[in-house]
Amino acid sequence: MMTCAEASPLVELELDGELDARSVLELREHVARCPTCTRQAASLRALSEAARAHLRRFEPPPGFEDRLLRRVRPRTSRRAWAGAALGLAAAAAVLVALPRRDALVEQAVAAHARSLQLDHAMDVATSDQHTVKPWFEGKVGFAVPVRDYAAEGFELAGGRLDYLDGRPAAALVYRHGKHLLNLFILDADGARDAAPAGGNVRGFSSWRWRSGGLRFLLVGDVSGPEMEALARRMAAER
Amino acid sequence: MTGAAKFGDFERTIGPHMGAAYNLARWLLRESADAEDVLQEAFMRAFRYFDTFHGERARSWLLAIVRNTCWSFIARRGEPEEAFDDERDSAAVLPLQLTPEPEAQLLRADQAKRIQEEVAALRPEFREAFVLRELEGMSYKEIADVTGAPIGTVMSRLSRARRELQARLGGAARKASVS
Repeated sequence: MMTCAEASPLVELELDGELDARSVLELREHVARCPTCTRQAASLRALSEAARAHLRRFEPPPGFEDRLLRRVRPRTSRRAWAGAALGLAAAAAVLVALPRRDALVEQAVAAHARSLQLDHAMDVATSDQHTVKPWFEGKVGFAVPVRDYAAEGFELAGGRLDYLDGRPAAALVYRHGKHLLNLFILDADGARDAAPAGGNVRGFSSWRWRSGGLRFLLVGDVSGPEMEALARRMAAER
Repeated sequence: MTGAAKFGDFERTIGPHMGAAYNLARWLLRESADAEDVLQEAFMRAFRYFDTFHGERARSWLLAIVRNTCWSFIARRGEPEEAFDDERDSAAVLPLQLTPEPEAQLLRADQAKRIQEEVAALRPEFREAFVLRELEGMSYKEIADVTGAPIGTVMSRLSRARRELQARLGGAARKASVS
């Protein structure tokens, strides 16, 4: 039986996702019986939610990334980069124009995190793309393009039906070492194709693009360059 | 590695985290005019040290450099921030309040909106821990890596930050109990 003195410091750990599963159960058991700890937990949760909802995330002014990288770039290589500068400026403009954390990306990241926590990443667990593809038939309103990238180190691990934006989405799960990645696929609702754009939300990197009438969101916690390479590879093929 | 190849590598590694770097600098410096200068210095340092970066978490690596550059800048600026002594101050602060008044517990909507100014008013050690946790979603370990503090210290700073915010947002009536 846990006492208040034992439970109280753990409430914050649970809120921060730093408590092991066994202690979470013991803590919840205590909190359920203890009005003081229930109040403390609710108060901390409310504070955290208020912070996430109202705390300002300062966005860099337009051109900031480009300006700074240009100043940091070593002089000897500036000539080589002069040609690339135009492309860089264009890329920076795109980054500025897109909202950094739009609602769909937020949802995709949340769905990704959920899939890791619940140990329920896959409804159909197989590396065989010819099994995964038909599994989605009748579950989402489009044909799901399924490809394996084992040769690049991203092995298809399976698929799952998820919900984004209030409707069914196909989630393809890839394994990269110990990491799992989710590729969410939704109907693009007639939106034009768009090149991959990357961002970072709560420690996960996300890439999104549109192609062939579908919207793709890739979410994972592998390193930035690897994610980008994979996203570009995927976008080029679909 | 040639300069251009190194720079390309550098750009790909830190590019995705420049927004987080800017956000942290703004929260620490509180002045947008300073942020760009300080970040330029931080990125130059990062580029110089990039050879020692071995592909561990790029965000923590970059934010640690940004954070340290911000703190040096604040010290140079001679800001009258009272130095916080974790050992001395935490001991006095951390008896957990087990029975706070119920009315102080839940935030009303108008109070929640004040959170911006109240977080800005926190001591910088608390402010950075809270912002890294709530806005960047960093784990204790990651915050420890960025701030160079032991995990236990991170936990007590975060806890202290929350208690101060609860008190300040929970109504003026309880102001006295924390300071």
